[in-house]
Amino acid sequence: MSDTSVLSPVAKTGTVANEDQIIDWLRQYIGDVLALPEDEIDIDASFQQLGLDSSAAVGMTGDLADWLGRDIDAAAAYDHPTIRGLAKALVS
Amino acid sequence: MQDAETLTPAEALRAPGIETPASAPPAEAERPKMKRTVENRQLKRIQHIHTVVMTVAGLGGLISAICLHFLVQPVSAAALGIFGLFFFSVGMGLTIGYHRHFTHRSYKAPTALRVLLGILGSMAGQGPIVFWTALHRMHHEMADKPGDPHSPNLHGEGLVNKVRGIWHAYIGWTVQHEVPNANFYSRDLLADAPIMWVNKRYYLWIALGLALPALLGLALTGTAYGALEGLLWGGLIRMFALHNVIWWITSFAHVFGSRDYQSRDLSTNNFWLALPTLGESWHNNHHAFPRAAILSLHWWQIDISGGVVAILEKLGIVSEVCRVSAEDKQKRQANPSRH
Ligand SMILES: [Zn+2]
Ligand SMILES: [Zn+2]
Repeated sequence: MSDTSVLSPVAKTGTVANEDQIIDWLRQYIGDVLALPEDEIDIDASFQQLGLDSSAAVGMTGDLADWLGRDIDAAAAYDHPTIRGLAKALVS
Repeated sequence: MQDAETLTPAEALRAPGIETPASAPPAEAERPKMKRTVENRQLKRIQHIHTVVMTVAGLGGLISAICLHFLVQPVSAAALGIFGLFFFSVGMGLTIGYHRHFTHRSYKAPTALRVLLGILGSMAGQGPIVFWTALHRMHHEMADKPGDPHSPNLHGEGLVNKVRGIWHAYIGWTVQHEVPNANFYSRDLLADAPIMWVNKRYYLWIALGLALPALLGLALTGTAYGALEGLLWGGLIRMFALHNVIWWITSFAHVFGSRDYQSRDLSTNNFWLALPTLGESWHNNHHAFPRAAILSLHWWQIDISGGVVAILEKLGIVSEVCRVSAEDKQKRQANPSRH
């Protein structure tokens, strides 16, 4: 992910998404999938612990990439398997 | 073929009440957008390599067993018995587990039985529960239209194209299909903790599905050769046989046979495949009534899997078994005057 992560993520709306906004998006997404209230989703739990299997985590990364309007490395969800970790990696 | 009274995919496939939680439904515009498929070459390649490995292993087992049969000693009755036992058990994992319960939610079962069916289905080597259900829901949603992972009917007119279509729907699709987004298609299972416990250990169940028949072979014959025969017949050949059974459905059951009920696709019923497919070849019945647990709609339509569900219901183990009402049957008949 060397060359993509230096760029700031830009949401399709034109606004630059910061770490908190990515965290919010991921919480909303996972909450939507698992029918859980967002505040019950621990941003330091692994995607596996939350209930996503590895293919679902990759699917989520793809949808996140669409929202941000940029590519995300296919292995991002494996390298950074928590909401906070993934969000941090994407803005660093 | 678009017909106003057919079920929408959401009605046909999703469990009631899972798409929008009653508590706090977020506004449609705010919900994160999801694609139906995952555009990820790496993941796609892993899926395709997985099928190739399972298919080659199964075929290798079959060739080995044929060689042993002619060069060493004829196949034993024990080995054939083990094949039958595991074909039936793992087959049930696929038909009443993976397909009718996990994909279509056609009946309710206690956790122990759900876990058992999930484990048995995993042994088939056709993918973990979440993947298989997502792919099959995508098939029902898009059946015989672009986006269907295995339609034999999208290759054009004429005999050559028909054959190409059947080849694609039989085996070609297994190394070409798009990977469904499990978040879109199988969210009910992702939220299902006991099932995710099974899903995570997929390769363990495959190994168990090879070890158990080998152990049974050892127990029955007391010889290492018996264990090898058990591994080949109850493990690898059984896996290859069940792969082919599923491929008969994905290909033949959308081409040959009769279309007795209206559905949005070209699915067909085939009597000649009913026994070996454990009832799944009443595929037109299934596409017309995807929530039904029992695919037999006439006394002569043999559906072994549906029979097992009915027995489990009689025993009080499963409940809320979905059946097709006489009225619905009447309404959806393709050619009412014939009956
Ligand atoms: Zn189905
Ligand atoms: Zn079908």
